[in-house]
Amino acid sequence: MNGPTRIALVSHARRGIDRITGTAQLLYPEGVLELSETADAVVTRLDGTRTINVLIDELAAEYEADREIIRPDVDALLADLDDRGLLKVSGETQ
Amino acid sequence: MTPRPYGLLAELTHRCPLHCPYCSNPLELARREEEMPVTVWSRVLREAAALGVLQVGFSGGEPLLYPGLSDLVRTAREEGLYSNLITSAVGLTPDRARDLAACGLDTIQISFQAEEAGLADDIAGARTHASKLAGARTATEAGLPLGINIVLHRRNIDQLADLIRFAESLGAVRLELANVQFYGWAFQNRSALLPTLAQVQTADAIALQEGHRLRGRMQIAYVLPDYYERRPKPCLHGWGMRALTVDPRGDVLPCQAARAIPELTFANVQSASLEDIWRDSEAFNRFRGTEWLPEPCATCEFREIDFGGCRCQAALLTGDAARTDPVCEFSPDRPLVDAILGMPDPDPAWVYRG
Repeated sequence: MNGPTRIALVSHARRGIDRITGTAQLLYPEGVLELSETADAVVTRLDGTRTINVLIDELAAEYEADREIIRPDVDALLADLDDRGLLKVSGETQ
Repeated sequence: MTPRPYGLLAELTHRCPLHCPYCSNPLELARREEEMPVTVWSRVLREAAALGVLQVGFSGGEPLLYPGLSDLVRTAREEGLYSNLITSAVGLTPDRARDLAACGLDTIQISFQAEEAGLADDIAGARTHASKLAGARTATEAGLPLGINIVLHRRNIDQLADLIRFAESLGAVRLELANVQFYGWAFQNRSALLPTLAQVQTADAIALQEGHRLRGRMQIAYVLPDYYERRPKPCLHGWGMRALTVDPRGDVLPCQAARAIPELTFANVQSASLEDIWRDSEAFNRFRGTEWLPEPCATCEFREIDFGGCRCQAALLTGDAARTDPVCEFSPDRPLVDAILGMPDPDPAWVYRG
C-alpha cells in the first residue's frame, strides 16, 4: 500500500450517511464502519486516482496540518480497511 | 431510550427450490397468496431507513421467486440502504443479474452446500448445484460482488479446506462458513447434522489458518457450532437492539428464528408502522436490555456481552425462553447440551425440508 500505488475502495464497499446521527458510514457486507470527519475525508478520496502521498498532500492542504502529523492516522485507517478486504490497488479487478 | 436498528432481513417469500435439512424458515411456511405486494414492502424499506437501518438483506426462501425484487432493490438504493441478495442463485439469468446490478444491488450472497455436485445435491435435496455454479458466474459477469455462504454440518465439515478453495476459485470477496444452528428444521434433524468434537476441532484449526492466509483478499466469517462452546453467542447483539426481520406475511420478528418461542405473538406491518412495532410491540420488548435476565445472568459480569445468549435456544432446549442459554457453562441447564453431545448417532439420516 506504499509508494506510487493508486488505491481505491473495492466495489462492495460504499459510503453512506447515517440518518439518525448524520455521520458518514462505510457500508460493506455484514459490516458498518463509522467514519470520523478525517476518516471520511480519506474515504471519499479512495477513487483510484491518487497515491497515498498525493492523498496526504491534499489532506494537509485542506486541514492546514503538517503531513507528518496526518500520516500515522491515514496509515492506520488504510491498514484497517485493508484488513477488512476493502481496498484495492488500481488495476485490480476487485 | 429505545435503540435504533441497523439491519433489516426482508424475507420476501418462503418458496424455495431447495429442501435443505437445516432450513431456517419456520415449520409452517407462508403460502404464495399470503406474500405481501411490492407497495407494502416499499413502505417497509422506507420506514426501516427512517428508523436508522443501514443494511437490508433480501432473503427467503428464494427471493428471486418474488416478482417485485428489482423494484425493491431500487427502492433500497434510493433510501440509501446497502443491499444484499441472499439467494440460491437458481434461476439467476444474465438479464436478471444485470437488471439487479442496474437497480443498485450492492452484493449477492449465494449459498452452496458442498463443492462436489453429488454431495451438494444430496444435501439440498434437489439437483441444483450446476445451476448455482452457473448463477455465481453470471453474478460475477454482471459485476455483482460475490459472497458465498455454506452451512457446515456433519456431512460437509470435513471438506472445509476444499470449500474455502472453492470459494476462492469463484472469486468470492466474502465467505460465510456457519456451522448449522439448531432451530426449526435443523432442530428436528439435529442428530444427523451435529458434527463430532473431532470434526469441529479440525475445522476450527483450518478456519483460523485459512483466515490468516486470505486476510485482506477474501473475508472468512466462521461461526462455531455453539453446542461445543462454553459461552453462548451474543444473540443479535441483544434482543431488539440492532436487527429486525420481516417475514413474507409482514410479521415483524426480533430474530428470524423467533417463532421457536411459542409465547410470543408478532405484530404485522400491514396494520402498524415499523417504528411502532420496533419501539412498542410486546415481542420486541420482552427480552430487550438486561432487566428481564434470570440468574445466573442477572449478576454475571458477561451480561452486557451475551445478554444471556439465545432466547430461541433456551426455549427449544428448556421449554422456557427466559432461562439462560443452556450452552453457557454457568447455566444450570448445561447438562442438557452435554447429554446431546454425548449421544452421537452412529448412522445419521435426515428428513428433508418439505
